[in-house]
Amino acid sequence: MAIYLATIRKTIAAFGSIFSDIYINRYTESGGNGEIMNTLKVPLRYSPADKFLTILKETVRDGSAVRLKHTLPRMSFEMLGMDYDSTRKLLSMNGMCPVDVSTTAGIAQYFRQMNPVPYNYNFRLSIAAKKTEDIFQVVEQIFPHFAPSYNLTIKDVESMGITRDVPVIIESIEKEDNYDGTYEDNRIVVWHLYFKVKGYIYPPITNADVIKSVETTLYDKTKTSNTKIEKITVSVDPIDAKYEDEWTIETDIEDFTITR
Amino acid sequence: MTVNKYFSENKNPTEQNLLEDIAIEIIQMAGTDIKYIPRNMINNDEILNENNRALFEKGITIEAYLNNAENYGGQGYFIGQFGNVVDRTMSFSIAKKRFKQEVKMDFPKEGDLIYVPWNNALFQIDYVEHETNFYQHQKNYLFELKCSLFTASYEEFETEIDKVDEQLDRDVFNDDGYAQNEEIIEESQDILDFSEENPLGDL
Repeated sequence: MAIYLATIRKTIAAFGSIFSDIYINRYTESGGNGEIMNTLKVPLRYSPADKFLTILKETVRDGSAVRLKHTLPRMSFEMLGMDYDSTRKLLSMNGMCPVDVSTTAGIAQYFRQMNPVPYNYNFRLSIAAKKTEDIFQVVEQIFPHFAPSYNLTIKDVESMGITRDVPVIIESIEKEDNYDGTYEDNRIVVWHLYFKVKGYIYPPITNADVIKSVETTLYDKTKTSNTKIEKITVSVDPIDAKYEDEWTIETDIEDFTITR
Repeated sequence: MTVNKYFSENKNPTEQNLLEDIAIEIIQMAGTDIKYIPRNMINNDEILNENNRALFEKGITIEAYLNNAENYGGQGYFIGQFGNVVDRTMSFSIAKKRFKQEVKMDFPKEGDLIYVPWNNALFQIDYVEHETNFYQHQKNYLFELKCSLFTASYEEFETEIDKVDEQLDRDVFNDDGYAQNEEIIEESQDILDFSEENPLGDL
């Protein structure tokens, strides 16, 4: 059965949430002087999308809304790719094994998950505006919080109780401004901010049954002989006891040297 | 040797007036009424060279000839990094004489807007060609306005064109089906272990 923990999707949403509450002001004078006339929330969008969903959101095609080219300022973000981060590798055979007594009618359920694999997520946040000063207002709200990283605490695998601090690191900043060229090409100012999110990908969670009986057999093993000496059985009594029932640990030793 | 004075240098005012009147008449017969919306630049940034605050406060009706005979120019609809973009261009010709009479300005200005009522479209003038038809009888009679659909960015509109003023009112402007801010915040509430308020966003 396929196990899907949606870790990548969660990372995308968590990254977007950092920038979902950014505003610009409209001042009566330039340079942030004068009075604030309006405060506007900057729309944010995850860039990749179904084309038909995007065009269906367009309201001007039926003529009910005034036709415009688009509206600015806007922000969008996109996960550009991922790469394995060997510097954060954890031991492959270690992992977590929490008990969950709330499931299966009170029977203790043990879940096991091996260590996650470290991956870096590469993101781009783009900010578009008609005016440079709008861009400045946006980035001056973002940059002070990245020095150069900002930590997100993500509930990576909630059923295993895994919550991790994930650093979001600003890597580089690029600027586009097509102010030159013919007058018929409209100007648009776009800044691209590139980020690295140091996240993880988690292996599947497996259901580990409780070990209720353990057998150990001892041999007298030499170059000339291989004689069974003793068999020790340690088990829960009764064997079908539940976690919250009365139970004891019984030890049974079978000595093979007596019959020799 | 100079040009032949009997054939060239034809700048007879009577001929010029005749041509101008014919041009106006053709526009009034084959053209369409548009609303010319001047940009009142209240505040310009003298460092960044940008118009920081614009007020569009009137829409003046004038006739214009559509130079696009079959369709809009431009790339049409496309999906970009920031969502839908409607790249439509259009070229209008307006008689110089009529423009001065109606709009009370010497010439149209780049950055001013044109509202076309029958397709409910708002265009920005990107470039004004002052020498269109190139000196017939040594005079130009038309302005050619090269326009593209307007990119709105929270300007102030008091044009008394109801559809424009209502849609571009800055208090309701944001609802264009583009933003996912609320969806992202809602989704992240289950993902983030983040009891404190988001430090970003307080300007």
